[in-house]
Amino acid sequence: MKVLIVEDEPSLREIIRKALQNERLVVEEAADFATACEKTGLYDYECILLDIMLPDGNGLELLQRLKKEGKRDRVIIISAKDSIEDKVKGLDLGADDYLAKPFHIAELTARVKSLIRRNNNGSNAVTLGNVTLDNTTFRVEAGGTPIELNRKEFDILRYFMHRPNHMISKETLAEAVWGDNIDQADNFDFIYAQIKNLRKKLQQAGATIEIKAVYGFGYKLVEL
Amino acid sequence: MKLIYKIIIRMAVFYILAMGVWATLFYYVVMSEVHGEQDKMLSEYSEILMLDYLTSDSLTFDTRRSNMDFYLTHITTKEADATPHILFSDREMYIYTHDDYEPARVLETIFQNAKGEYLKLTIYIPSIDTDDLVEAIFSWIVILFVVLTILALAINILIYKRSMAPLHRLLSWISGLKIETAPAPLDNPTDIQEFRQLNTAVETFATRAQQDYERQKEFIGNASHEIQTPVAVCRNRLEMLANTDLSEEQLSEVMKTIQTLNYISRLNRTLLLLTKIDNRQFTETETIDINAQMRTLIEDYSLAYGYKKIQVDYTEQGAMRTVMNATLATTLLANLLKNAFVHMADGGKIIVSITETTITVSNTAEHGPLDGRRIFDRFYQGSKREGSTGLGLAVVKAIATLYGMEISYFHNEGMHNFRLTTQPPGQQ
Repeated sequence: MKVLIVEDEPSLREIIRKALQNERLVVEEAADFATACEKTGLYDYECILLDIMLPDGNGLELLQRLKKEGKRDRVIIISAKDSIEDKVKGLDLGADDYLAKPFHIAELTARVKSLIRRNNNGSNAVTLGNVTLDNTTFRVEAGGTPIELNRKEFDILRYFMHRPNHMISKETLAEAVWGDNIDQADNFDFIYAQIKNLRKKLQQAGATIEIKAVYGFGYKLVEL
Repeated sequence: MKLIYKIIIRMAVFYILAMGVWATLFYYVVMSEVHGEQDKMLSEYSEILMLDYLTSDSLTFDTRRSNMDFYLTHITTKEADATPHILFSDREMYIYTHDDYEPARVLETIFQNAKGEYLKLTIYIPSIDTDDLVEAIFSWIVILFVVLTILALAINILIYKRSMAPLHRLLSWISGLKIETAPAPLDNPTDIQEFRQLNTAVETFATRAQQDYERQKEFIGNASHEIQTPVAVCRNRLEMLANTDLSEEQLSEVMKTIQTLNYISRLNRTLLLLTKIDNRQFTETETIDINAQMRTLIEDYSLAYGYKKIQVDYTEQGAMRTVMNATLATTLLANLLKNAFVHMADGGKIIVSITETTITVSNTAEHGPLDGRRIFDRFYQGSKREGSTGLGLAVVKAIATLYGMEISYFHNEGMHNFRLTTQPPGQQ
């Protein structure tokens, strides 16, 4: 499980490395275009996190080169340029995902793991404890028992399933599930109601995972 | 008022004054000339008559062929002493030849005969009718005034047009200036030094203003862009910290810091968005079903702000469809709605209505009317609210401007009203 981080900002590189190492991934780093070219030329990586703006070149160029060489490395573009053109261009060139700075660490690790998972078994389902959530069929099962969830509950559970053991703040969750428009709400009681229902459904189905409240600030999905 | 009209009006006022003074002077000069001549004539005749009378004791002077008249009266010594012996005056007198009373120049001479008796000789001649004279002078002055004014006007307009042409060319160039685009080269040849200086000065300033604007915009964009990465780093470090074993108190501090960082990040994103809107970087457009978008957004916001117990009235009087960028359409509607939800006391009311060409979002006003001229300015906030960037309505305004829509604010019946018109009058 080797991941290459191509990012010129040392601080950000260090954070990404730490976060991915916490997920038990092997992490390599490249601070500029030349180093990145050298490393991708020599080794194969499961996943490459690619910054577009590099001091000595453009990340998109590196992506082009990889594809030309027929490399099968998965690429996630990370860029402060959260413009649609860049995103479209990157995905057109064969990037697998796009992440705009600033991003949440939990978001990044979830995307990386989801990519690696797809690479390994080609399935779009994620499993934790005895619970399986299928991203394509929108089915959730706990030990074979289907759980009926409404759309928002499904979205919330999916978000947690991709980020187990991470504390997710209410604000982040609201933004992720209800969209950017909600980010300024100064009261997140509406999330509490959804989480309460979701917990009840998981418990009734005998799931071995639980959404735990972390004081008053957020929630964490843990395996029992 | 145009310069030429100002000049004409001032000129006319000056002419009226000057001609009034001139006409009065003219009148008095003519009158004194006429009186001088008449007085000389009257004096001569009165002397002849007196001589005649004193020598022959009768008045035989034949005045029938002239238009003069006279009569002789006896007066007492007392009367003679009380009045001057030679007196000219203007009076209405009976004129024999005209058989009527007419204005006349009168000479009264008092003299003594051989017996020492006082006699008064009154001799008079019809004089000019001053009313007629005044009338004549006045009408000629008016004619002169009109002729002079028309002439001066024509000359002035001609000269003005000729010599002011460079100024007008410069003015039309200035009105074509836009801060967003580099000014077109100024083609305004003139041999008038002042205008040449003006040309250079204006062109220099226009170019500089445009460059400054460009640089400023670039700076905001770059600064926001550069800030994103360190903000992301800070936030990510804190997120990692939050996932370690922290006490409630420590976690609370971390979460608060993350919230503040989120605020900075949001501020930055919004500034970047504004820059991108201003730079017209949202080129992809599609037909947007505004009604459907609005319904979804109202649902989301009603949920998020449910704790505020806000009553939302939504009416669709028409279906609005407009061609614009999808992201911007959502941002536009969301910001309008968010503004209403955020800036309102609990238990208030929001009224949203859509017609084919307008969207109106009204909400209960906590305090009085807002400053309608500044409400769409960046960072303008009627009352500071924690976590609010003060950029929401500026974004609404920027998007509306981009698509030629009109956004207006008005206050009535204790409600703030924001109305977006997709086809402002005269721009269909």
